[in-house]
Amino acid sequence: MSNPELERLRHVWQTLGREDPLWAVLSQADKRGGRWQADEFLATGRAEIDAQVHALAARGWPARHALALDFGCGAGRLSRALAAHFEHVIGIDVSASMIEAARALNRDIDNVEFRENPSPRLDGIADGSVDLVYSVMTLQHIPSQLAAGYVEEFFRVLAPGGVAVFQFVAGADESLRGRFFARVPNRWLNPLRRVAWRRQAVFEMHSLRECDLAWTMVRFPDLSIVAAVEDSAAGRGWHGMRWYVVRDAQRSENAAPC
Amino acid sequence: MHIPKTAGSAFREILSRHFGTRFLLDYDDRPLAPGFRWRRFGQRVRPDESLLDIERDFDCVHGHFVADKYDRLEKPARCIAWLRDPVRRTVSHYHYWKRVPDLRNPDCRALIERKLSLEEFAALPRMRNVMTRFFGGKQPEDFFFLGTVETMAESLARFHRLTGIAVDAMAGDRADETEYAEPSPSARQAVERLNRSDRELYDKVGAMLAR
Repeated sequence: MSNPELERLRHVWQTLGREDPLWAVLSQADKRGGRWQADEFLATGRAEIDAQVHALAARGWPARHALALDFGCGAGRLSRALAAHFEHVIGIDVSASMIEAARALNRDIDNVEFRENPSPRLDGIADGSVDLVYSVMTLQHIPSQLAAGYVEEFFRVLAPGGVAVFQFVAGADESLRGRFFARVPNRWLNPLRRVAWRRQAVFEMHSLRECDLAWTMVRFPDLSIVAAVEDSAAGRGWHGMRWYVVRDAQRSENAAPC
Repeated sequence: MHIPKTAGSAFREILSRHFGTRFLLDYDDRPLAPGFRWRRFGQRVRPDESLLDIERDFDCVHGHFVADKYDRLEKPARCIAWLRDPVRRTVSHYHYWKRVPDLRNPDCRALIERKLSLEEFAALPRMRNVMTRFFGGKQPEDFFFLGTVETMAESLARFHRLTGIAVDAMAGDRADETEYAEPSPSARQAVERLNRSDRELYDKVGAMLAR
């Protein structure tokens, strides 16, 4: 692997996946130290996915339910829930230890596969093949340039009539906390996080500007943002967004990404 | 952000129809009039509360202002603008002010009273590189949407894809339907020379849209 940022990211999530995978995915203070119950953890994924899938279905998206991609699947919380709505689900994650945890937690589900993806691209996922790309609480932990590349990959793999749903941090807000986040880089915040979380491996927060994603869409003339809503998943101080991007069902070969 | 003579009036109708009562017109700054630096300074030192009022009451602001004016909003604003070929923009501005004079503006008064030629008008300091000055410190990458008048249909389609706002009614800048005579080669050359930054900006955006 030649990308140092990706290598660093992988190292952090490998460690977190080994130490406390469920808390690393859903970082509630009272669940630190292996205190998530598997059923309780998985129920959060079911609630989220059921609500999202039903809301999308009401607007006719996605056109088919053949393949869903859970990007940054962690321990497979959402992949498992997606399996109830799609013929096949691929959960991918940068961390091998997370993938191990996901496989262990979802042994009883046979239409989900988990893949380690230590690459800045979505290797092994064909162009225009995925009906639902789903990613929450993942892009916000990935350095901006890498994250923007992954969003471009979401657009590449999205099938005609498919929808990409992804949450990201668009920036810090103007609150006191947000101004602090905006001015203090991760390399200064990390020591504080290590103290607060009492662990060496800590995940960072990174923002992805909406305007950069809009410029990426110039290359995909058959994609439309059908909704862009605020999303508070990143916590206070951050301006989080969730985009819903749809590929025209009538996609022709000529309309493929330039 | 409405840069003068870039189809902004027609675009304003689209935004107004979409946002209704939550649409704010902001044409007070007059970035091409004397004293703008003071007005801009005043904006920078004004209390945050005035921005909070705008944020509470409006979803879209449209007008002649420099692009960074609303950077201090609580939620980051999406900045959008239209550009136009710098020579055509200047020619359009020249003829528009002859047709609809803004007599508060000394440059416009000079144009009317001294019967300035296109080259003389374009050489006025405040009439040079107008698009670049409206951008302030921002780069094209900092905009959520940039369209060009020369690619109106494609740009509108992209705007619709990005925002979901209906654009079917916009056919062009109604204030600028008049076909002006092409400037002479020497006049064109002079206007180009006086608007080098705008040319670079326009070409950069063209290249970004052609990727």
